[in-house]
Amino acid sequence: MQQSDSLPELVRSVTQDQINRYAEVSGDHNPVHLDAEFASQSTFGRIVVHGMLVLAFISEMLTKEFGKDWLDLGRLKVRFRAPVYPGDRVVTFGEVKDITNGEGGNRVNCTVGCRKVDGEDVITGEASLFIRDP
Amino acid sequence: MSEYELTAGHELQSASFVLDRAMLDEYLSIVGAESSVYSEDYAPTTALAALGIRTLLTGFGLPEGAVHVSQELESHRAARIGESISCSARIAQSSQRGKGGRFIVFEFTIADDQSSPLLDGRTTLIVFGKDG
Repeated sequence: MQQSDSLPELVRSVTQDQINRYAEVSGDHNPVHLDAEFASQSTFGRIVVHGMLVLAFISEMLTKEFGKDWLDLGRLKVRFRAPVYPGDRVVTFGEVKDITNGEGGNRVNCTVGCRKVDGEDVITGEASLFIRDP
Repeated sequence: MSEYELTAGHELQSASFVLDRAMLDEYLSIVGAESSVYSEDYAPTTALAALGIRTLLTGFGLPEGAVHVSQELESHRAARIGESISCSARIAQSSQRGKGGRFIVFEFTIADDQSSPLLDGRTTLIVFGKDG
């Protein structure tokens, strides 16, 4: 792995059924994700996907690339830029910014995010992890 | 939720969970998680984070319609199916945003049954009260 390497893109779309299931498994029953009438009165104007569900796609991209190292010692810092609506198609993206040597391993720093297929960023941020020497 | 309870420093008593297989399998299915690491019974970082956010959403009794602005996560070790975990949370910052709601920064920590940290999180929400 080296600087400027791209992380594997994941393409996802989210249905209302997934949103409903995510609400159950996460405990986040915010009606902006579940109630069309409530959502129509919100700042979004319609139902939106849980931000943490979209963030999960980014985390899966990092897990796919780094495996258990990501689960063990990963850090993530992101901003939610735009809502994702049911049926939207999104793609994760990431790039290795730099790799620094440390005691017992290396720290890998990445820019990461997720955007709609039309190019609109929905989440942007940074991720880093420490990969221990074998 | 009273103004007092949305002030910086307000803390929650910890909530406890068990990372059960059914919950994690459902989570993996929803997210489309396919990494081979999950065959070794490790839990996704964001699944743990979801439990942390569940704690603060229910524990602080936030009004409906809160908007997620940003999220930070720091993992200390991977958690596994079957582990008993606890989650504590506090309000780190709280500031009124004119008539546009209140910015609230929550911090949560998820720990294992030895109280060793698994995951730290920092969640920023905009919360809209009755008056917006």
